[in-house]
Parts: sequence; structure tokens; C-alpha cells
Amino acid sequence: MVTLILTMILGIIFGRIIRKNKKAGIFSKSIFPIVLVLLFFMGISIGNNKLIMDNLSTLGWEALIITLGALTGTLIGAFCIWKYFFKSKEVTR
Amino acid sequence: MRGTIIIILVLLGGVILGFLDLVPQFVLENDPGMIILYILLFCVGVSVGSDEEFLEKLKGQSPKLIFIPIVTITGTLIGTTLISPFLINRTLADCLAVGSGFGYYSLSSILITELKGTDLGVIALLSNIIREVSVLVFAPLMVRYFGKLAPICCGGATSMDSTLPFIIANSGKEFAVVSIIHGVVVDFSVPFLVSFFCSFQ
Repeated sequence: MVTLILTMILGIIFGRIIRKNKKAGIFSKSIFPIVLVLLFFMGISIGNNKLIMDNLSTLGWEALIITLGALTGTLIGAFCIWKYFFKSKEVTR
Repeated sequence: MRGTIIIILVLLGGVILGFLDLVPQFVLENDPGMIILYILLFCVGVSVGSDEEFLEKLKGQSPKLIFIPIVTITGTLIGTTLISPFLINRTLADCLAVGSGFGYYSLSSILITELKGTDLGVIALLSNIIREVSVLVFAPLMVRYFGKLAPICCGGATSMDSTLPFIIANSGKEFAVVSIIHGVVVDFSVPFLVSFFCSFQ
């Protein structure tokens, strides 16, 4: 975990250094293809794992329950700041 | 939209190849995912670090806008914590790692797959897709009952791209800048929070 976050922070520092360089954009552009490669490997490990393929509906229910909790908490929070901080005044341009 | 279709096709392609056992054994044994993940996070870091427009966008905005992504993150984490006892097979940290995807299903699911295993990765994938789709479907109801910030907060990290058109259509175009700033901040928190919660046993 620490090494992952350090890798990212290293990236941010490197990004600050090379931000004037015209080729800096190549790093942003390579994110999507790398994500695709990783998703492909993830797909393989899903398809190859009989336990997961047989339990997709159970995993789906678990996903739905977590999402319900996350969204309920988010909606209550959004409602509170909307009502008490933002509704009365213009916040946007 | 095109990106989403490509993602689904690539993922399904992998699932089919894996299911039909068409993958050479040495690929399965030497999972290259972890090294690629490091390369990915480095690139994410560089793209954040070299982005000069982000700070420009923040200038001239009301400082209280920063509360919106904070509320999204804390609301999600509290809600996920409260519902985690209903999932007997999952620990609190597992649930929080899934919740910390904030709709960013591609990055969160590959991170969790590498760090915690494929089954939790699948849950993260499905959960965060459900989160994104629920904004596309329920944005009008969210605005009506929970105010104009509700679809932005529920959109999480996607409020700057895939759900943005639906947010603008329902909350109003004056919320476009708010929505993008919110999305960038939440998006940035995903790799940190997900790998943090994955570090618990």
C-alpha cells in the first residue's frame, strides 16, 4: 500500500518537474490503454475462477448492498449541505 | 460512452478467454498485473502533477466548494460503514475499499483485484457501475428530493465526465464547473483511499 502511494507521489513530483515539456501529455494519454490491459487481465482471472463465475449473483447482491449504503450516506450529506450552505446563495458562475 | 463500450468489450474478452481456458498457463502463473499497476499509478501521478489547468480552475471559486467533495467522501464512507454488518462475508475494510471507488469502477476494481483478490474486485466493479448508472437513471429524483448537489455527490469521481451531461440536464448548467471540480478531487482520492483500506486484513 505504502509503495503504491509513494509511486503516485513520485509521479506527481515528476509531473511538476516536466510540466513545461511538450511530451508530458504522453503520461496522461497512456492511462486509458494501461487500464485496458489491466481490465483484460482482470477479465481473465474472473473467467478462469470457477468460484466467482458460479457466484456472480451473490457478488452482485453484495455490490448492490454496498452501493445502497454508500448512496444513502451521500444523499443525506448532499441534502444537508444543500439546505444549510448553498440553497440560499448563488455559488456558481 | 465510446470508452465505456471499449472497457466492457475488453473485460468481456478477458472473461471469455479465461472461461474457455484459452490463456497459456505461464500468463496465469506470473500475473503481470502488479507491475502494470505501479506503472499506471505513476502515470496517474504525472498527469495530476503536470496539470496546470486544475489550479487555474480552482482560482476564483468560492472556497466552500471544497465541502462538496468532502461531503461525498465522508457520506459514502459513513453509509458504507453502517451497511457493512449486513455483509457477513466481508470485513468493514473490504466494504470501505469498495465504497471508495466513488463510481470510478475501472481503477478501483483493478486495484482491489491486485491487492485483495478477484472476488472483491468483481464486487467493486459491479458496485461502482451501479453507482454510476443510478445517477444516469435517478438524477431527476435526486434533485427533487435531495437538492441540486445530490447527483453531483452521487456521481462521485464520474461527476467530471460520464455523468456530467446528466448532472447539467437536471441541476442546471451553472453547476458544470462545480461538478468538474468535485469530480477531479474525488477522482484523486480514489487510489489513496482504496489502497489504504486494502491494507487492512
